[in-house]
Amino acid sequence: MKAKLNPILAAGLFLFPAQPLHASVDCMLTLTMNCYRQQRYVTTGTNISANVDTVRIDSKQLLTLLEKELSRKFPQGAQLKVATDGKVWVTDSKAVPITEVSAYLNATLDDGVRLLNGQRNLATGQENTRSYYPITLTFNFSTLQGSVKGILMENLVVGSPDRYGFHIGTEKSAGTVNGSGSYNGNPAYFDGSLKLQGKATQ
Amino acid sequence: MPLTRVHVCWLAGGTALGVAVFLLGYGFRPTADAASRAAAPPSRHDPPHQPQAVPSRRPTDTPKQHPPDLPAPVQPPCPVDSPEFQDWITTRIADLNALAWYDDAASLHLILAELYNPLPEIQAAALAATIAFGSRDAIPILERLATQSRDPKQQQALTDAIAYLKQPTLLENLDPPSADHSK
Repeated sequence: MKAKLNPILAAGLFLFPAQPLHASVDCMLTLTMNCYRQQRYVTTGTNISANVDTVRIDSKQLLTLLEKELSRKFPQGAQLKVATDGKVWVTDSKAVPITEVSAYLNATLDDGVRLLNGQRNLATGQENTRSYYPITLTFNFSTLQGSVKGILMENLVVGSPDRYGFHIGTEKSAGTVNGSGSYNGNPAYFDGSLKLQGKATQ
Repeated sequence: MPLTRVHVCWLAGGTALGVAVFLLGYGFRPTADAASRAAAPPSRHDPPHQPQAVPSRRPTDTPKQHPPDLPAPVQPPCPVDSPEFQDWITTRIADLNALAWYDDAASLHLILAELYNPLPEIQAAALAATIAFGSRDAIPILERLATQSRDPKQQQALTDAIAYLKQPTLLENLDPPSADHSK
């Protein structure tokens, strides 16, 4: 069956033709990391006895910390999303934004020093690239502060435009991150992995 | 007519050729075991609503029997060499990532079921989703799979996941009685 193009959509496409995706797409943030802190440090005469405490931190725990900070409950399946400008949002399971939480969690995507490998066609908007870029994730909760940095490897695929001129872009970025900060007021070190995954139509 | 050496040679050569033809022909036919499995009725774990599994020409992991308390892994609805297959894989991985944000047992079971999927992409996504889900309820399944697996890389990934999940969580240390994310 031949689909009819909505006149409003057609007018919109005429006034604002689809632009190629130059930046990455909004992505789901998946973080899994370990947090190390000095649990015990006892000096007895010439002996030192010490223990390092390790706890795991993930995106869902960050959501719970956000609930505590904001004194509100997010719906089941709520997710953390990183926008292309680095702002972090809580969305529902259907990716509908609920609230911006950049004051507590913020990502800096340094696009200026991105290393690009692959093919990008500026005329058609098609792209199939692997790029490397630095990211810094900063968290600022009352019990957990600090930042982690790393190099993410991004696979970005932007297909050919569909019959309405829209491109579908799929991004998968992953990398290891590490950094330092404080946990319950004590110095802490962090290491783990960070993933950004998203799909968008433009 | 007496049997000469030439006759014996012809006879032996013919026999050897016949045996070779028989063996080659037998090698390309399905074994009796495989044929009986194909003809057997579906087991009670086969989901009635699942689309028929499409034969794969890609290398897949050795299929492992999923535990009865888990649903069967979802099979691709299209042939693996079709253009739709990659879209299906992308969608399934996105589904698993989305499930990891829930906290209920049903979502965890759907993720764990895909650890038994023979497609390596889905298996890897299921393991990542299990880690992201963050529940220690997954550990017995992961331990069982680590014991069954013959792939050293997969074993290592499963062992690392188990070690990660066994660690205390940040929330447990902040507020032990009401920690939601680890049971």
